[in-house]
Amino acid sequence: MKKELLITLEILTIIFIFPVTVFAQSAVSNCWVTAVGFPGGLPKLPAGCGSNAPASPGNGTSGPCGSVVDWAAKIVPSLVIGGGGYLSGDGYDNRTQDFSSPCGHSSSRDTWQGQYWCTYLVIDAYNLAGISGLKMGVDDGVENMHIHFGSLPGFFTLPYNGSANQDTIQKIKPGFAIFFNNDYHVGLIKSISFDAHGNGTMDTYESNSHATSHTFTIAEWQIIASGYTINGFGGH
Amino acid sequence: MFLIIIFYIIFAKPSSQQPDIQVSPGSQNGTNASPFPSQTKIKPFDTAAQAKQEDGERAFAKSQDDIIKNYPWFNKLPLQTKDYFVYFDVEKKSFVGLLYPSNFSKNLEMTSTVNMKAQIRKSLTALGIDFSGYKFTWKIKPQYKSDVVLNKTSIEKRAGLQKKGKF
Repeated sequence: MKKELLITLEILTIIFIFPVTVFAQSAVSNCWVTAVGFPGGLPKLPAGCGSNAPASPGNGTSGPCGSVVDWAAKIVPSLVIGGGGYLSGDGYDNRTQDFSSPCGHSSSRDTWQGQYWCTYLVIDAYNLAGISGLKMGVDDGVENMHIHFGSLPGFFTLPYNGSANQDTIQKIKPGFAIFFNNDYHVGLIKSISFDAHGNGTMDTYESNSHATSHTFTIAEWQIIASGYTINGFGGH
Repeated sequence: MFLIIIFYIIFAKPSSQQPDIQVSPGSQNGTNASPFPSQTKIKPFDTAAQAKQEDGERAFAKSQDDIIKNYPWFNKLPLQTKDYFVYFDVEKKSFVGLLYPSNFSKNLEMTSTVNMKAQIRKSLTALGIDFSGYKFTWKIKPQYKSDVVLNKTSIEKRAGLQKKGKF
């Protein structure tokens, strides 16, 4: 009798209780939702899913108010050499125009510490795109900014040690921050392209440098550095 | 029936604990693990830090300026086609040519790389790049295995047909 009861229970389990696992990509985000059982509705999605962000895969890192690269492209033409504060000198360290989006405003001149630092382009572009977290007064220093890319919710870092690394190169997207010379300078990735051999180029947007854009060669999955080092990337 | 279901729920062995819904971020680009120790503190961006960063920024800017000053044609590179990729390695002061000949036959490969090198030199000249006085480092790369296999298969088939007198 006991054996029969157990068999009955097993049959009923298979029919009624066996968990149904449904794999489906949410229609409103880029996240995969694995439903076990019969949950009602979608869960609250983490920030990384971008459930409210407009899809902009071609422009890389994006927020609710556009892509980081698009905002950097707007800011960079407004950069001029000198005249931007008591430290402003012979680099593109002065921003002559203010910008705003429904998500935020570009940094106010009175918050600049001496000039428009390289970090300010990153802070402004991210905040205008609606990706919050990086702040004036906190992320002015490149080292601090790199730490925050590794610790703020939704942000992440991508280490790079200068050697050939296909996995890393393939993960770099427009809008990523690129850290140079052990965190003494930072820029934004404007574009990156490579062929199946791992050969191509990577362009940047930068402030407080002698040019607002640089092109770097990628050969066989290695960024060819000349007179500088790249010590990592940051994204969202 | 309902009691049986309840009985089972209470006494059944629990499966591995997992939430009802698992969500994975779609972005798999990097690591959320900070490369810095958890006790890394944010440092004040004081006068000393500003001076240090300014020096670093200037050093980076100078390194880029020096490249253009010493090699004014630098930004005209790299040369890139499906068959080759040529760039200038500033640290080694050498042009580097990565060649991807597509012919399987060794003889044809040698001919095509000779042709490629000639084409590359012609292209550099057309760009106004004076490469005399600089070394060239050539690296001849095998094609993809699939291409090699495809070529080999085609050649074997051809050889087979030739043996049968059909080609």
